[in-house]
Amino acid sequence: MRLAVTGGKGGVGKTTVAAHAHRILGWDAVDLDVTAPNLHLYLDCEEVERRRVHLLGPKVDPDSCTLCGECARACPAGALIVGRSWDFDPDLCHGCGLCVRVCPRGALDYVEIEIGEVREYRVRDTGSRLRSGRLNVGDRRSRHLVNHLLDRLEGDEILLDTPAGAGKEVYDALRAADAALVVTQPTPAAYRDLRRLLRVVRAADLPHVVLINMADVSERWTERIEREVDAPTLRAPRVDDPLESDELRDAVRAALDEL
Amino acid sequence: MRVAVLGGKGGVGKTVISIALAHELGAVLVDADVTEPDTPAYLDLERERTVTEVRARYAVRTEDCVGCERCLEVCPWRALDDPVACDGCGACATACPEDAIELRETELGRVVESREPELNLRVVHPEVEPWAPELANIVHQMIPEDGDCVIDCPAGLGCPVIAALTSADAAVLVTTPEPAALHDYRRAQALARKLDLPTVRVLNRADSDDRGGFDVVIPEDERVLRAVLDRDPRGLVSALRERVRRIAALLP
Ligand code: SF4
Ligand code: SF4
Repeated sequence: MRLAVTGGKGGVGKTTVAAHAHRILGWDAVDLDVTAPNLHLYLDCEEVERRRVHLLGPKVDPDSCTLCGECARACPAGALIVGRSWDFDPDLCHGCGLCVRVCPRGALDYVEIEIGEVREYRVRDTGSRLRSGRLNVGDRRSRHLVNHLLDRLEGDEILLDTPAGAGKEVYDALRAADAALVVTQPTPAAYRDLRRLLRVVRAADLPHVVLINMADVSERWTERIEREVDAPTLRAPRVDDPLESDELRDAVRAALDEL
Repeated sequence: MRVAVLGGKGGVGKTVISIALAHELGAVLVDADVTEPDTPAYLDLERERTVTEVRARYAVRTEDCVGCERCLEVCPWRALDDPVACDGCGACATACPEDAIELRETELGRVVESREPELNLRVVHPEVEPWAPELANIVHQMIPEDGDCVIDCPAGLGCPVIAALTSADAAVLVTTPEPAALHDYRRAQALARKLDLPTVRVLNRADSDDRGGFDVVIPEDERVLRAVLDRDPRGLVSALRERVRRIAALLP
């Protein structure tokens, strides 16, 4: 099973729960929160490899290019401008390769554009791997890096730590998963975000359970979530040291059993 | 002046600080978290006007499709016939040799301007489907042309955050003392530096007052949590007032 741990609102405990799930199941994990990757900080692990991630954009052979402008007309990202010279902005390129395909003279070839890196860690207590995507600071192509990681999942027992929010990257991660553990908290904002996230979970059409973290912070909001959410819900307590807490670990285990 | 409030990690207190800061400055609050806009969970908002409608296109294969799958080769998300995944970029339509791709218009919601009566705060916030594409564009449309605003950024440092920062004159960087928050905060700092923005560095929910490297330290305070749970904006603003004044004083 490929299991996504997702959370909507940031700070509800998604990554802490992912760390517990990893230690319970022992599966390889992938950190898809590529603009703020930090699952490695929650696990006792050592880095074993680091690889750069590239998109393929165009480069021109000026001797063959007639400046016809076909490539620029095809580019959906506005990365190419052809006037009296051929101009390419690598920051805007999406790596779709259309320009190279449409050039009638075969004047374009591929060139690598770096967007970030993947760090691979070995987790000491489980012996399994963590792969962590890390977008270059200031790059806008987080969804490309997320999908780079999703396209390279190996094996059937994988834990996916999704980005925060409920946008297209979260949907991509959910589409790649078979089940989702959805983490929330009993606060008005977390509950609002949960409802939106559950619409995305439903669009991805996969079984899911909701874990209400720090449920004892507000009995009122916890009960409201339990009453109104159309999915199995479980409670986890507020604890002092969440990463080492047996109580939180048991709650995560119960949520995994439910799935 | 336009101030962006960001932190990298979610849940560090960006939204409560943004509300208190907008109130302190008498500025418009802009909720730039398009996929998970939270301001309505903290404030009772009375909708006043629509700022802009949000529409998008998504690609579907029509009956002329012969199954060559050139479209799937160029789509980075293999998003054909899936409006939740599709970006509407149109690459598939250009690649299709049979002219069998239709780009359908869809309504995704709107950006609205509301008023919060207790604090007399004006708030611009999105009411759009979480799968809306081109988030940076939506953020740009939310930022008022003139006048002061405080932009509450989403978690992470993705394109909506970059869009907010490129429109801002200053950034308030927020973190808590946890290692993961500090890690993401360091990346947020690097981004602000790259864009050459003056910053005010805030340590929120601090365990002690003497943490170096920060301009403003906000101690852990149960009153903030209570005000959030009771949806009490006055209580929220008053719990944060003193420290938020210091932030305001440090802005350029
Ligand atoms: S690869 Fe695609 S996005 Fe990049 S320049 Fe070529 S057409 Fe434009
Ligand atoms: S419009 Fe762009 S994102 Fe949508 S299916 Fe076509 S290639 Fe993919």
